[in-house]
Amino acid sequence: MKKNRGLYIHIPFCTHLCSYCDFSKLLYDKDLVKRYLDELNLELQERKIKDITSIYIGGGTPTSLDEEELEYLLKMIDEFFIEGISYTIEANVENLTPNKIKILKKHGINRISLGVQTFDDNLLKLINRFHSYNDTKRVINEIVENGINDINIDLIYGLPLEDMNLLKKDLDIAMTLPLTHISTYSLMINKNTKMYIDGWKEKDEDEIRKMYDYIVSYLKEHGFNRYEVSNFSKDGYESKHNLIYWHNEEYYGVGLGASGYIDGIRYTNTKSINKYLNHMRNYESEILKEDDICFYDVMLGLRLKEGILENKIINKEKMNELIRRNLLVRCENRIRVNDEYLFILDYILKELL
Amino acid sequence: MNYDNEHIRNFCIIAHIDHGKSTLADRILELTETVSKREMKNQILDSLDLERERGITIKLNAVSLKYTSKNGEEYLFNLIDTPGHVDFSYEVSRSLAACEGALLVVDSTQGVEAQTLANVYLALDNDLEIIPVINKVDLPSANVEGTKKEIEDTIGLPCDEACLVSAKTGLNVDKVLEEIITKIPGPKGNKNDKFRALIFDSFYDSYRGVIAQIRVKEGSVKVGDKILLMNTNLDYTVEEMGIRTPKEVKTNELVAGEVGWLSAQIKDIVDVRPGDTITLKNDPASEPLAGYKAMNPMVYCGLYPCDSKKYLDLKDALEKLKLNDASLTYEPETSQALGFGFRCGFLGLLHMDVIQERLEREYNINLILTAPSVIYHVYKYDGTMVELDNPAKMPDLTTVKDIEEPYVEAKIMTPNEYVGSIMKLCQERRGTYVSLDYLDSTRMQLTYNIPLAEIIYNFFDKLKSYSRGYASLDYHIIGYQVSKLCKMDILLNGESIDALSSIVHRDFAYNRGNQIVRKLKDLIPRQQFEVPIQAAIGGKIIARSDIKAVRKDVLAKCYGGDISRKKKLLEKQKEGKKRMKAIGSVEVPQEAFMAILSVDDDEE
Repeated sequence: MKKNRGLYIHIPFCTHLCSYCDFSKLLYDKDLVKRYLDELNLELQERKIKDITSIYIGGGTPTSLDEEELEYLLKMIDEFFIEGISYTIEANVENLTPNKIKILKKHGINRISLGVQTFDDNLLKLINRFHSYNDTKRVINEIVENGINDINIDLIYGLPLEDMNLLKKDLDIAMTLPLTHISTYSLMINKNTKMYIDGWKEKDEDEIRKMYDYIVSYLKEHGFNRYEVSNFSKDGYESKHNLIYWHNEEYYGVGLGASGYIDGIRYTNTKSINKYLNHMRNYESEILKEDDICFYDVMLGLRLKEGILENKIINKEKMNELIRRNLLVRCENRIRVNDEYLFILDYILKELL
Repeated sequence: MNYDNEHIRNFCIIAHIDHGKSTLADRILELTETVSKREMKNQILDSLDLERERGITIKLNAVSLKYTSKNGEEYLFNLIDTPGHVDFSYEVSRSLAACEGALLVVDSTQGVEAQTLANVYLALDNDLEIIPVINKVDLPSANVEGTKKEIEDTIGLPCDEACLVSAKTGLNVDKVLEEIITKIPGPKGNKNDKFRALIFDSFYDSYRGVIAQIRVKEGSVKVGDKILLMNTNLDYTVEEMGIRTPKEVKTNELVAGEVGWLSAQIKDIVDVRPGDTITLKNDPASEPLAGYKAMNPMVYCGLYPCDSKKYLDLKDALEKLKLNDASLTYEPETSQALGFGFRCGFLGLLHMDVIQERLEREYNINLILTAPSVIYHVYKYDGTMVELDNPAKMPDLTTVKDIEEPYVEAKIMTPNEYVGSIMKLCQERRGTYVSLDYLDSTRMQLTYNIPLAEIIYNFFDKLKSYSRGYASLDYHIIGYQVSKLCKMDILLNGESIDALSSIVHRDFAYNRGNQIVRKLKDLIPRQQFEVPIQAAIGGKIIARSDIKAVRKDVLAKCYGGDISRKKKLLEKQKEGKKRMKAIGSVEVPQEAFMAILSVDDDEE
């Protein structure tokens, strides 16, 4: 197998805060963005980045940058871009203008991951998102018109007040759009989020599972295969960049709070913007030993439908027991999680690792 | 240097937990310059780490101090420490018996507690002179006059001249030292009488064997003497003796009135029982000292290693703990559910707690404890009686005529306003009302006879929560009574789990069964398949609940930044799993085996 290596670039700015989000993010501020991009450029140079096979710009909201800033950002990435590699940017419906799409296209971006969350306007208001279903439809058309055809949307399920009908409606609408990929996550209400403070509760385990099972079978029927716990795609449109993570391959992480895995070391940058801007970017790093690598191989690889090579699993006795209990499936020289149990992967990992 | 009886004072300190006993002892050690500031660790008498952490004293210590009084004469003070928990009241009574006087320390912000009162009565039984010491007078919340009045009302001890101290700052501690000389009499025994010494504590030393801490009542003993322990009838030759200052100082002789230690190559701590009398083998006293009792464990539970490979480690650890703890008993037992382990006997719940913590902390063994049980007397139709310390071993009910259980007399001291709810608690716990006495205008003492089994089921915590922490409890065993008891089994996945069996009162069985299965459902994590939990009496199911199958246990988003964090989290969760026991295919956490103790936390 060809060795892949990714480049992840983090843009921590947002123009407004979603009420469920507990990531470290910063409200857009023109002056701060300028200083951030300069420091980011410095880090890109210092990381001695080479031989990459995919680029992913995530956030925050990368498209919260204005056209000029976006142009500046993409220009500094140009030197690492190689024709033909997968190049993704995360975008929000409300600030992805046709002009910005043109800039993205010009710099080689060939995949857009759009934070849609739901098509229901009432639920969107509840989670403090400022776009509507019509905006989403329009933006996706503009993306396609500008020649970018690989489009993912993120969907959240298990929102308060969302029932099976609303879930089905969301999926029905998604199927009318020219999508290649869908990522879907159940709502988590973490401390320090507006939803938590407002007293919203997550739906219970059984309800979430019912929704998840519905999504999996619905999307399968409509040609989207679950190739990872939360990720569905049309054939050939799996996220090449994200597969690097799950294949336990290496990647550079650049920017505030970004993580990377290079030359056997996993590192994480500081989440403090002041430290980052003052060039104190190191937060922590882990030098991997052989067992750590095996641990990661199994932990990450079993997220995938394809599973992992049997020889990656050390505890064969436990593996065989889990096969007997129907939790794992052996297929030639590969081991994968039984479809029905992928949603309790951690339960399996706790036994296996 | 030798002191005559006029210049020796043997005393102890009586106080409730947290009322400042150890702090006062520290100040006394400082003032008498027994311990230099440099050596001063807070609460130096409490030598076990665990004791220091919990601020309570478990094992007794005695220390000899030199004190030059204001009139210029030098005195020898022997300060004998006493443990401060209801589990150890016999040991307290034995250390009191080694003294002529006691400092009664009462926290002026808290007032007198039931435990203190119980120990004061023990001290009065032993004819001790009691000096009231009112502590923490430096705190803004101190109520000195109220505390004085309370001591006068509840104990009948005049408090006009009570010492008002702050053990923390050292305020007036010097006055306490003078009071010890003027109020507490010197020891009376004649050094020419036949030798009798009271053993009030013992501990194990790996080089010298058991070291007995003794108070010489009459006569004297020298190194090389042949001694006889009068209650166990064992004899030894004294190898070494001395006093503690608190460092050990060897001497050649201990005489009437003195407190010290001796060693005689005694191998087993069980042979050196607190309360026993030492005399000379060749010139014995005619009578042992009064007050000796053999101490028997009151509470039993099964101790099992989570990891069955650790069985031998557990055995070694228990052997080592036993060296220093005559009240701990253990015998091998086998449970179908838990494998090989030990049935251990303890003086009470605190004692059990302490042993568990020491095994886990000092010996690094993860343990499963089964719910504690008292000893039941099971009378069979064939005329035999079985002493049952493990509910799982209950004989077939058709052969059982009667079951008796131990009762205690519980004395609860509480502010008036909580009397109603505490009486309700006592009724719920099958208590029989004995009396209700006014201690003063605001506090009452309630006396109930209650089955010991109910006391060990979380009674103390309940009492504290019903009274916002103000009520205090003291109890002692009064004997066995017949009760309508039966064994309740718990079935997991249809299989009876012996380690979860308990003895319950028939009238309360349905309730308790329901509470336990619900509690277990909350405690046992979801499993791959749905697992029924049932409570049964004699094969009849009385309650059921189901542990659901795990439906969602996955990290939904796992990208670049989540990966290291996820690994750490999984490793931590796996660490938690080590504290679970696999029973069949069900992973049962440690706490589940103690579920029965906390069922009352769920309000109906």
